[in-house]
Order: sequence, then structure tokens, then C-alpha cells
Amino acid sequence: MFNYEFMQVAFIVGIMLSVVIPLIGNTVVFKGLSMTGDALSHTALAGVAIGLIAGVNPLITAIIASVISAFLIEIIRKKFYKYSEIAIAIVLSLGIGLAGVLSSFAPAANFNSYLFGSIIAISSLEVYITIGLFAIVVLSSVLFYKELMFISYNENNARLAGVPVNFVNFIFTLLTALTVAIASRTIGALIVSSLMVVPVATALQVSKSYKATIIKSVMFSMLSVCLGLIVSFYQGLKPGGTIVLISIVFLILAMLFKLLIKQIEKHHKHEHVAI
Amino acid sequence: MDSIIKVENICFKYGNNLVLEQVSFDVGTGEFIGIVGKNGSGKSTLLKLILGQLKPLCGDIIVNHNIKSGYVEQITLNSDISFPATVYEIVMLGLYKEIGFFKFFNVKHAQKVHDALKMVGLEGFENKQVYFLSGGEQQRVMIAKALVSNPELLILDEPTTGIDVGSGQEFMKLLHKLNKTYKKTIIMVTHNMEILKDCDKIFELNNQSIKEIKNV
Repeated sequence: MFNYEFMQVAFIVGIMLSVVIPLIGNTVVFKGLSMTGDALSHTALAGVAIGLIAGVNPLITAIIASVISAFLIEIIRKKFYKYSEIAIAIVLSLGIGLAGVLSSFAPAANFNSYLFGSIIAISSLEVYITIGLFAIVVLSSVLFYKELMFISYNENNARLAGVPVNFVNFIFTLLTALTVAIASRTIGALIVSSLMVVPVATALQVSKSYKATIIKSVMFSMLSVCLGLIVSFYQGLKPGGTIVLISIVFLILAMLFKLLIKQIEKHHKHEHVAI
Repeated sequence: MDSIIKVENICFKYGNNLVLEQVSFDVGTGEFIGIVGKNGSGKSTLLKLILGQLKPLCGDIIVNHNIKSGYVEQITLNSDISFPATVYEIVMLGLYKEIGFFKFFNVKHAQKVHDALKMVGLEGFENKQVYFLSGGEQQRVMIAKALVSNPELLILDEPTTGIDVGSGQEFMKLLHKLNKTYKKTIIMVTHNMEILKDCDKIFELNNQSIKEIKNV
């Protein structure tokens, strides 16, 4: 498998994205905005269609569309503070509507490659862009670790304690948009939103702390991407879909594991009482 | 006794709704002050004014600038507490002001967390997940988070709401220990007059104004 250069590149890019996406996903989930990835990936698709129609590199138009819609979510979220999910639903609808209408004017083959990604056909420019994204997101996650944790825990409380909430939210929104747009090109718009949430959900089943949730979500995501690439290569399956399905398998296993631990603990308690 | 806070003739409105009018009182260093009032009487608004989150429309609030304060807000179950964090991680957040932007937690901070947990009787709880603690224990974690930066003043908004009577009594014992043993000045807002029986002063907010009432 690794004799093929395209598989080597797919693994390098896949592993970098499998770190980046859940790093962003953790904050997205804790803020109660799990569907953000979905909304942004659909507006990124609309951006792709605009790029294909206008003859501009679709990655650039996808990034622009994704960044605009990410800030739109933030603006609408502040207007409906207690119902933040409304912001996502509005932007998601806008993305679906635009992508749906514009896709009929764009070449179908190119458009589909953004829907499901093309991780085994990545250009060297896309590799460099992914390396840049990986460096920025990992660095920001380390530098803003306690700020992101405080904001995820309680935004008002963080503001009171002196956390520069608006600045950190601005950086985070920008990074979310960039991640969705760039990852859409490689693993696909529809898959990026799943990887943003499913590994975090899996990690939540087996973690006690914020730190452990972040580390484990990255581990589950990496395992899903690597196994997904291997299985899809040998079985001739679509890599994006295989990766998502494997991440779901991990979630089910984690839920069963948690259930098993609970049963064992219950059993021990009963034994203790009996003695 | 030195005043730590002087509230002088303040008034406040939400839109056209007058909430506080000509409210004045003093908080002395080391005092335990209780503020009672019905729902909507302006108790939480008064705390927000003292904390500087709101600005009074008239009057002044003079807070001794040399003091640090810790704030404990009402726990809203299923929101903050469902966040996947250990007791250690939550209490550590209380040191944010001290650590600052672009800097990291270190061993010195870990010792402070340990000391704060010891003060509230939660020694050894560092690695427990907050979500699985009882209501009373969760509230102690919030107190430790407020105490970790070693503030002279503790401000608490309805801290016993949502916890059972026994835990509430234990919690009040803890607050009195912090007041007497660790010399913390405490301002606590509640609608439950009964739990304030051992406070130094009790103020009642009613019809936009405040008055000191006798100890129950």
C-alpha cells in the first residue's frame, strides 16, 4: 500500500487533518454548536460552485464562503443567545440553498469531488496548505488552551475573569472556517462535519477530564482515518465514507465499554453490601 | 471597622423599570453580610453593580481597590456542570486573572488548587469529575474556584439553591469557617432568611429600597 505515492500523501494529509478537526470539534461541541461543521461545509460547497462557475480556484472561494458564514453564525448566535442552534440552522439553510442552485451550473465531476473529497488525489499545493493549517491549529490549541477551556465551560464566567472572549472567539471562528474549507477538498464536505463531532462524542464516553477528552478525541480520529484509509484501499471502498463509518464503530464500542464498566461497578457494590 | 465596600445612594433601572432607588449600606472588613429579598427585588442586580458588571444610574459604589474578590454564581445544573472537567480543572480556572493570557499553569498553581480544596473540605477530590459530585460538593467546588486566588472578599449569589437542606446547612458552616478562621469578608444574596441566622448583618431589599433588619 505504501509503495504508492498517493497513499503516502493520503496518510500524511489524513493524519494531520485527523488531529486538526477534533481539536476544533471539541470547542464546537462544548459550545453547543455541534452542527457548525455541517453548516460551514454546505456554504463551503456553495463557494466551490461559485469558484467552478467563475473559473477561480474553488479552494479559495470555498475558504471565503466558509469564513463569511462562520462569522455570520457568530453574529446571529449573539442575537439569539439562548437558542444558539438557530444560527446554525439559518446558515445551513443558506448553504444548502446556494449549493443546490449553483451546483447545476458547475461541472458535476469537480463538484462531487468536494462533496465526498478526494484524499487519494491531493495536489502538492493542497499538502502545503494542510501543513500550514495543521501548524496554526495545533499552535493555537496549545496557546489558547485555558482560554478555550474557560469559554467552553462558561462564556460569561470567562469574560468576568478577564478572558479576552471576543478575540479568542474571533480566532477560533476563523480557524473553524479554514479547517472546514480546506478539509472539504481532501476528505469531503460531508465527512468533515462528522469527524468534528463523532470522535469528540466517543472521547466523552471514556474521559473524566477536559484534557483527556481532547487527547482521546484526537486519538479516535487518527485511528478512524488510518483504519479507514487501509480498509478502503484493500476493499476498494470510498475513503471518506469508510472513515466516518469506522469512527461510528468506535463510538458504539465506547458506549458499550462504558455500559460494561457501569454494570461491573454495580455488581461490585451489590457484592460489598452482601458482605 | 474599615469599610471594604461603601454603597452610597445608588439607583438602577432596566428600561423604565426602576429596580433600586437610593440604596446605601456599608460592608466592613471581616463581616458576613446577608441580603434577602423576594424574586425580582433586585438582589442579583445589586451584586452585579458591586462587581462592576453594571453601572449605577446615580450614586457611587466605592470598593477598596487593594482587595481581591471571588464571585460564586448560582449553579445552573445541566449547563456548566455537565462540562467534562475534573475538580482540579475547574478550580484552576479561578487562577486565570493571576496567570494571564499566553501563559501556562505550573506546579505553584497546582499547590494553590490543593490548598483551596483543603479549605472547603474537598481534599483528594482533584481527579473526580465535577458532574458526578452531589449538589453540595459541586457548590464547594465553586467556592474553591473563587477562593483559589486568595481573595479577601467573597460574593455569593443564591449559593444554596438546588441543594438539599442538610447540604445547605453544611455549606453555611463552611462559609462561617471561612469568615471566622480565614478572615474572609462575605456578601451573600439569598431568598432564604433562615440560613442567614448567624450573619453579622442582614439587609432586606423591598420596593426598590434596602433596610437593615434584625437578626432572626
